[in-house]
Amino acid sequence: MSDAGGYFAALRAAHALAAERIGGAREIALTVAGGAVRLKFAGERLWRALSPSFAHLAAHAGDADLTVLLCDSAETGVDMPELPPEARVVFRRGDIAGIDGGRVLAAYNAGMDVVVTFDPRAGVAAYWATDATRLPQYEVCAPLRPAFNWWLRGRGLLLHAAVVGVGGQGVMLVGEGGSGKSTTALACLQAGFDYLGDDYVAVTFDGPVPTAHSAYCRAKVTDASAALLPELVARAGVERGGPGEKTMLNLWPAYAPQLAAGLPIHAIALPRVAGAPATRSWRASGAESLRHVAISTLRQLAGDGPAEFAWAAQLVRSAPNFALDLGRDIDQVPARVAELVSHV
Amino acid sequence: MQYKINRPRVIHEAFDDEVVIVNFEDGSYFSLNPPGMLVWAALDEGRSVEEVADALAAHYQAERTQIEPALAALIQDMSAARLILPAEGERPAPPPLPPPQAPRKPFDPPRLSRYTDMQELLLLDPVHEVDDTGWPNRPQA
Repeated sequence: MSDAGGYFAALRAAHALAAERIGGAREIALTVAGGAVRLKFAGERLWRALSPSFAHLAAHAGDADLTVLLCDSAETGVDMPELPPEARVVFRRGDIAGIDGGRVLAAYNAGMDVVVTFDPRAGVAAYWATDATRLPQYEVCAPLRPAFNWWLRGRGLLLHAAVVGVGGQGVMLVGEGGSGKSTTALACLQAGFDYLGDDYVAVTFDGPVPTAHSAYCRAKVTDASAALLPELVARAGVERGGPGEKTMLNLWPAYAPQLAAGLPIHAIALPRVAGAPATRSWRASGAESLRHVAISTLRQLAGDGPAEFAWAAQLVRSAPNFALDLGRDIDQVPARVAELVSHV
Repeated sequence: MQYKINRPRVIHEAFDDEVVIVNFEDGSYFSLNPPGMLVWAALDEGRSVEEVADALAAHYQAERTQIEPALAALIQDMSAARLILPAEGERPAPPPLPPPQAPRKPFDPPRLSRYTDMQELLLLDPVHEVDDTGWPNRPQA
């Protein structure tokens, strides 16, 4: 493994020092989107906060395609090495100007004080948090989003979308927060569907049909959604959020048999809370679907943009697109979702 | 007059009845209706504005007096949004367009629709600068 050089070498040394201070890094091996991923946590609290979101992807340790060095400054007392001068500008979405002549990608999240960097040539990412106990719920449920997206570049991306499956056929649900995407996915899980994720999934384009892959096994629900899904909430491991936060659900191990690793995407649905009694769907145009898929993803992921837009276009061309007006009767929703792939 | 698409900052994806365009320079995105798609594709081929007007007249039931102001307005809108840039004389003229096979359709003026809900997030304006500790500025507590 070789680094791009300067800055990543400093990151690696700082991570080693941090790990030494706490008696060694905690390591976990995962399979993500068919690739071997190794997470090395320098920080017990960081490991406790983030590792349950990957519990369903645990794999035997071997050579890693992606290694992530994670560090909590508060616990280890080791600060992130200073960003080099050329990287000292951060844009609104979190993009950091390129490090080492653009060879190292970086993003900063001001809401939680985390910098994520990635060296594509070495297949090594770093995740540096100032204080693991201050990570917000949305991060705990879906960590490492920029690192996964950069790592997948060239064969796919990390999408802001939910995916469920019936009979091995995947349905992707795309929409902004509040669209009903997450509640729909969880209602389908409760009804016995396969499940890849309610908020973020990896998508690769290795074959004739795009394949979605699970990245996270935690979901978060509002009180209103939790009230609609009593069976799921009772069965999943529940972690109550703080004031203003949602309820976090650990879907592993309770739903382990339904937590699929990957599914081919055979339909894309654009859910919307409509308020009518019944749920109904109709065909949507690829352009309309692209606006939802691409815009919803691009606004959340620091990164390049044009490459993700092109992947999103390939995705919406590969499967039929549907508008999905969600009715008030949540029990009807899974059957309507299943109908979207009944033609396959 | 010839124009070109403002690549690589502007990218587009064409579907049957709509083209979706994103300008990564300022985070705005757009769509064009079918007559607008015809204009976009013809400009991208290096056709002059006069040829684009000819193509619209061949595809749609409209007089040049309707087409030309509508086309000029669209080109003005696309130029203002920096989706296209002047490219007079940069490329040789492409071969003439073949006559359309389908009968002429009723004329709907070419139209650029603008969406701004992504704009503030893609704007490439710095919002944090790195402080002396080497970290971006922390959010105010």
